[in-house]
Amino acid sequence: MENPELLFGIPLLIIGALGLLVAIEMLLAGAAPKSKTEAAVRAGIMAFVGLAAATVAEYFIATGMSQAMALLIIIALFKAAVIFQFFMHVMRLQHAHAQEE
Amino acid sequence: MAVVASREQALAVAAVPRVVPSHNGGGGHHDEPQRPAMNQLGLWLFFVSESFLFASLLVARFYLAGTSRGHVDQMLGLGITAVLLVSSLTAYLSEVSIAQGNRGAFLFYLLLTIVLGVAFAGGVAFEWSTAEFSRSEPYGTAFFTMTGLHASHVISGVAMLGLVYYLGLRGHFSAKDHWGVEAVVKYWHFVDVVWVFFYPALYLIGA
Amino acid sequence: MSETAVVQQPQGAMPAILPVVRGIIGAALGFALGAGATSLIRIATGHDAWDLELNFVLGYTLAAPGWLLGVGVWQFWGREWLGWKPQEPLLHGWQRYFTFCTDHKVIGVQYLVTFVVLFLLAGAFAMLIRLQLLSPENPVLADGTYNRVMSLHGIIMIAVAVASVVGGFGNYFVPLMIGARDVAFPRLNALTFWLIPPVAVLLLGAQAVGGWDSGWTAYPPLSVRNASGQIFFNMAIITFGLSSILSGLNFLTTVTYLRAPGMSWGKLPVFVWSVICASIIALTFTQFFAAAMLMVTLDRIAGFSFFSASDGGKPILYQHIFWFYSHPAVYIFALPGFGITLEIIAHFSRKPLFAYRWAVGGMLGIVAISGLVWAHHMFVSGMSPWMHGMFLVSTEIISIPTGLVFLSALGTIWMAKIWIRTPMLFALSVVFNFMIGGLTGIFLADVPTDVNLSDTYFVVAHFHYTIVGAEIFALFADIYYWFPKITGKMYDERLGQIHFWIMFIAFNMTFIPMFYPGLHGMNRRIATYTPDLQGINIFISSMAFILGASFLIFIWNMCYSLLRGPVAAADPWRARTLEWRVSSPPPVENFPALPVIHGNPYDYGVPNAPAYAIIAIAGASGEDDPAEGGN
Repeated sequence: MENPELLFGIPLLIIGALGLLVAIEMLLAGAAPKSKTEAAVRAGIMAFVGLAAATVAEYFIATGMSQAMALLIIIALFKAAVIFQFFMHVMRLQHAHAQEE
Repeated sequence: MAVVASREQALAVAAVPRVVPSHNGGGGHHDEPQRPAMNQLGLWLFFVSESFLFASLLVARFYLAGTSRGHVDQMLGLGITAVLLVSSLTAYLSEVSIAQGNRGAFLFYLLLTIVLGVAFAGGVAFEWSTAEFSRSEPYGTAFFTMTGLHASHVISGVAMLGLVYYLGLRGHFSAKDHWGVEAVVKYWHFVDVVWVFFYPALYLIGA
Repeated sequence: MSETAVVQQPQGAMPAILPVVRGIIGAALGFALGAGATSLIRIATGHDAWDLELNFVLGYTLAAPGWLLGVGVWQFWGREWLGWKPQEPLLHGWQRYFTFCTDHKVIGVQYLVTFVVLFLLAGAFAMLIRLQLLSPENPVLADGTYNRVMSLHGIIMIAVAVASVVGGFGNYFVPLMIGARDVAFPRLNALTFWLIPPVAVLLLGAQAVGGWDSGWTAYPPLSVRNASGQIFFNMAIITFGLSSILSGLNFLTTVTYLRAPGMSWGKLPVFVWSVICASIIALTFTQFFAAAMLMVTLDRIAGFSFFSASDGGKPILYQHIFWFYSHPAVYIFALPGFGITLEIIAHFSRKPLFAYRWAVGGMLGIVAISGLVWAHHMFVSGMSPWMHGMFLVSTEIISIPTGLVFLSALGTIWMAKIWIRTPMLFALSVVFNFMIGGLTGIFLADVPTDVNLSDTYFVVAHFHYTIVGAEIFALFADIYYWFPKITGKMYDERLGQIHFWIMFIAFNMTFIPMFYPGLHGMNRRIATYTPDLQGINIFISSMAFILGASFLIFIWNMCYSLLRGPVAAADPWRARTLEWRVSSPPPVENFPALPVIHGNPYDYGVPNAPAYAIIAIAGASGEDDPAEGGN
């Protein structure tokens, strides 16, 4: 890696990602949505905002700064996790399973 | 002769008047409580399998070309990535809408998703036509294979979304029964997840 | 979704041959469309109209779906995609076996018969190979033809190994053994079978365009440059891989959700566990073989350079990707073989299966490590030397979970009162053969010896000991064990044992001596050898012919017993597992009411062991009431 100091960005990014998740959670909990639809729509939009932010971040990391492969991989994993969790509801698989048992 | 008897027996058991099994992928046996869970698991296992296919290409990309990269149009790459990301949101909103029985919003967001999917495929096609590297060099080999395989999934996804749109127009799907929508939308999200990894691998990493 | 239309067709209304004819028409239309469009584009862009490989690949890409749609996918499934009512295949009797039938038992028999026929065909190719090797002077086949025959033998046998036990017996017996009425996705199941005929047609049809001579492994650069038959091979593998993946998916979902009430994971018969393990491998790793074939295809037809070293490609990439599937694939072959071996050994030893949990853990352990050992096939490929030690160690580690399975078999036999019947003989021979296969494997896992033994007949002998010795012997154990259940007839025990002894002795006499020419440097995949090895090769060949002839006894026994054999009882082996609780053959939908599981499957001779399963008797309650009928 050309700029090893960029590795310091990794913990920052993880903290940021966690912070974003907490923020989404608080927003959803704070302003009680009027309906289930509204809550679902809001969750989807929040996830989208997170994804967009991560994409912009990875774009500038890759083009503006120097190459930081580990950082890009972590951002990609974060984005995939967001899509799995908020768009594809991977955890509902567990719920479906639990109902059967 | 006795075996004939046992065959007869077998048929007799089947001939007892009762609900004939339908093996309906959407509904299955009407008395099959596991059907929704099985559909979910089957779909997710399909994604697991597919991700191995895409992973093999990711591995091949780095094995062949290391972190070297041909010249790609960064703005175009970011653009189609954004298009696909937005289409994931619209697909999600479409599913949420039908889950609440809002057919108008469901169809609107679905159509938007289809348009964005076509736009993404068009972006890839444009990228192919203007690429400054050939498919017989290592990076080009990886680039065209990965974008090509991904685009083929996008196109098949658009086709399935189109089918769902057609069925939706004809009044199929409801708040209770929309597994077809859910499955296709999940597939669409999966295609997006693949791009989440392909985009940095092809456009961002390396120089 | 919508109500399903039930089209109750009177028997004979739809000729059984019709679906296949429709499938062929669909395939022809698809091919014409794909190949025709390709030609038009080629003409428009100023090329020759016809390029065999390009037109074939794009034609086949549409021909395969055309075949499937024609053969029944459209009628029974696809109509639903357009919101129409699908029809329901409701043929009875033998006709079901030639149609797109969703009954798992029909599909199991379809798989089984198809693959036994393919097995015998590929066995005939092996006879040709041994005929050639009677003398180093190429008496029978030209060199190129020899390699084509060898390649065809290889890949057909690999296909048999992948799908005969899992596809045949897995489909037939997994739902029965877990107390389900059918698999989770019956139509998908039928689809996986109907993907097999195109595979067979492609592999045999490849011979019309020169065949392929790169073996079943299809290493580039040869596979990028040889005759066009290679492209048929590639398409066949991708198709077969799809079938394998989808049936793996189906099994995993079935076992997860359709176990009978009370059937916890710890009460599953061990054969079901082995199918689960094989399914996990098939579901995931198979994609790598498909990916490797896609890369070879792109190199051939579209000028890509995955493996063309002069353009910066890397041929070793192929070996990594290929073996990342193909090493775990040997566990797709072997694990169901182990599963059925343990199953039969427990039933015929009249003892509880020794260390059931450890055996299951061993099989899961094999799955877990299977993806970490592939490069032991590549010690002489020129890959980075730092990988050698790593893969040596991981390969040796995988013998630990394998040993658990092995010890479970030995522990069950230990002090048992063994009931010798043909299935048990085959099961015991699996233990013996696999021991030899495993011990000789050590020399191939260790780099210093492997460097010398690579690509010799030592590898051939070792491989046949593990795959034929473990899986094919288990396949025949299966066939004899479940023949009465599937057909309702009993096979001839005396002929069965004669078949066993001839097959077992001839097999060992063929392959034990084969280690010797291997140690003396006789190369595999080459039509000739040094003259000093002719004596032993003549011996090997004559034993191989006896091995081949032993299957004539088998064929006679099966055919005669099917037609004239005595009627089999529902439970001729007095086994505890669920498939023996129903009539032979089992009724449609298997159980009159879902069984409820109380005990363990292998509690033979255990005092006060609860009955394994309790099934409500047919017609006793609610059977005549349509509202309650299904469950």
